[in-house]
Amino acid sequence: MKILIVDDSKVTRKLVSRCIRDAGLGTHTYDEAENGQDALQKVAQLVPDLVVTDWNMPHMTGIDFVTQLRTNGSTIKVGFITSEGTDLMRKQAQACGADFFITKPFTAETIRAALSGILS
Amino acid sequence: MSFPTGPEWVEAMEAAVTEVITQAGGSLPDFEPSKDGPGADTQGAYVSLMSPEHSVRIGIVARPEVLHRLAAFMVMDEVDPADLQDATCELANVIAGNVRKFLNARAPDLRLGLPVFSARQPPTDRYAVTASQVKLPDDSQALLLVMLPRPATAA
Repeated sequence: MKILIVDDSKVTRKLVSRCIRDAGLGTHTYDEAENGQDALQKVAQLVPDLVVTDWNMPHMTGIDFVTQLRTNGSTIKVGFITSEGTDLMRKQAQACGADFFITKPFTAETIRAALSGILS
Repeated sequence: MSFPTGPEWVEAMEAAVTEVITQAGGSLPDFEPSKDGPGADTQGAYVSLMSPEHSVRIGIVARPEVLHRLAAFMVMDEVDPADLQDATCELANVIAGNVRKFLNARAPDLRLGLPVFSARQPPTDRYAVTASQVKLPDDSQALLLVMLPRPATAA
């Protein structure tokens, strides 16, 4: 699978891809985007199978990105890995068509639990 | 419902730091109140939490080598020195997100700003600063800061 990781932190993008690898859910290729705007362009260029996005980012937030993605008619699997995990945000994520919601801090086990149905 | 006080924010920060450290496989950290502000050789990252009526700034500061160890611990990997600011900001961001979660019932309409890295001292003329010292397993220390804006005084 082709996975796009969207986060304004380079360190976090690296951590997410490593945890997905460590989760033991198969071999995948990884691309990165720094914010929602960048991610919309990368989705159009790269056509990933899965998008994992942060919520709070400059230029375009994760929730705005996913909303735009779904408005564009995309059915790509997409979900959040975010430091904020309130019930309201989970509901917003679900309402805009997100497939999963993971809160930071996370581990490979957290990733496995959330993504096993998608990646295995 | 009243907006959380400085000590309540500090308590939530301690709980958030404990969650970050234990999630990464570390042992429970020790905390103690700190009357001293950050030392001149410290730097750190700050995140604002804002509601329509209130705001608070929280931060984590330490000497650069301690920040580097903390960041490496959080990401469970080596951190390139060039990525120290990014990693410290992410650490502050994760702490802030968990602080928000812990205090959601008291302050439900908060939103997080983007983390900012700074080597400057907190402006205590504008903020009331409450601090907690976190002792790490290697005996190094970092400071958790809560900065509540001081009420404006009449001219």
